[in-house]
Amino acid sequence: MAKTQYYTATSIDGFTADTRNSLDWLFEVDEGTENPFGEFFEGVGAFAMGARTYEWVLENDNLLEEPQNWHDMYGDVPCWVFTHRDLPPVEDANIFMISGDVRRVHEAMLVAAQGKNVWLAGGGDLVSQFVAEGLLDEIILGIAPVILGEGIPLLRRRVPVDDLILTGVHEVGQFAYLTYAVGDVARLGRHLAAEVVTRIPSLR
Amino acid sequence: MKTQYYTATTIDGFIADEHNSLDWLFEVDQGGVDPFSGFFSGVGAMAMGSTTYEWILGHEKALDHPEAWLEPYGDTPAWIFTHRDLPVIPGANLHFVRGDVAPVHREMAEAAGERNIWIIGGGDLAGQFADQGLLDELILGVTPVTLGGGSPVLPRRLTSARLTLTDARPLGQFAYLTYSLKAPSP
Repeated sequence: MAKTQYYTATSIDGFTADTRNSLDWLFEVDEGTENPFGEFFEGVGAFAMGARTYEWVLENDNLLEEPQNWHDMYGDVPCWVFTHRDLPPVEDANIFMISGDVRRVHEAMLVAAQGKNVWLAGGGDLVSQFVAEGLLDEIILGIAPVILGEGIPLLRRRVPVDDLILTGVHEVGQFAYLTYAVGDVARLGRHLAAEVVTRIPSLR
Repeated sequence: MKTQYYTATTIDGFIADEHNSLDWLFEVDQGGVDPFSGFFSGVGAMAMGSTTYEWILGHEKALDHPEAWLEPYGDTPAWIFTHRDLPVIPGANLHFVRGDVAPVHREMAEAAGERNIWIIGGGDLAGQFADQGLLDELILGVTPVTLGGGSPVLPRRLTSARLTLTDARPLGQFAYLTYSLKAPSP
């Protein structure tokens, strides 16, 4: 079943960018030889990001002058950019500028994704709106060996322990990848785990 | 001998919520494994800030029930950093100190001998040890919770030039992340 996933790099203390909206602290980290993002993105059929994230990608990848960089990264996978401002489009990129209710946009994204996953690229404010609407199924964090002390938070919400279940811990280079199931999926997971424990006497 | 900051933290890097509560922590499944006792068997001295100490006094009622301290910590010496007069838990091996962490760390190292020094928290106290290159390791038990606000795990900027991931493993619903920490370059 298609999932809606928040996949992001973060500092140990839960910031996705520093106060200058810089990611320099991230790019100096040893990524190892695997490419978890490439593998992840193969499963993605639609993605979304907030205005600040989009502006950061524009600048970091020099997209206004080299629009080809967008295609190299994301191909023709459709991208929804949530913004209340006029932002410059990337030439020939499959990008929709929208504002407003995440629920309706999410429905459109699911249709466009055609059974593949929906990726929320960030930032934390946008993803928090999806969480509030119960639309997020999975969080995948690539934790860099960095503490920032301040910056842009990866989420701005309290998500209680009943709504999260740890499903994976992996080391890739200097990154620790933690995966969590969110919301109904997490509750279902707990329910199934409790069933197993009840059924198998040795686990009681 | 290492100086270690061992603490539970949320996914978003908080060690307590805005009300200084840890209720979110106690709801978490440990998976039947308690890594703390193995960790603590290596500890010869420990330090904490006044907020952490007062949390133990308040939450564990340690003045009336000193066993709440004595059972986990025995007579392991503890240094409490505070500018105020705080009540003493009967029978506990406590040293009340203030100011620069460096001389206190020397005293703690002497008491710990071959064993490790545990910085219990909070985050700013651990940061003061890190500032002076006196912190060697972070061991974080990441709980499956976000709080959106609270007391930060370590209110400092420490880049990958100083931090190295040495271990990542799940234990029940906790993800344990261990980092070695280099002293700041002079």
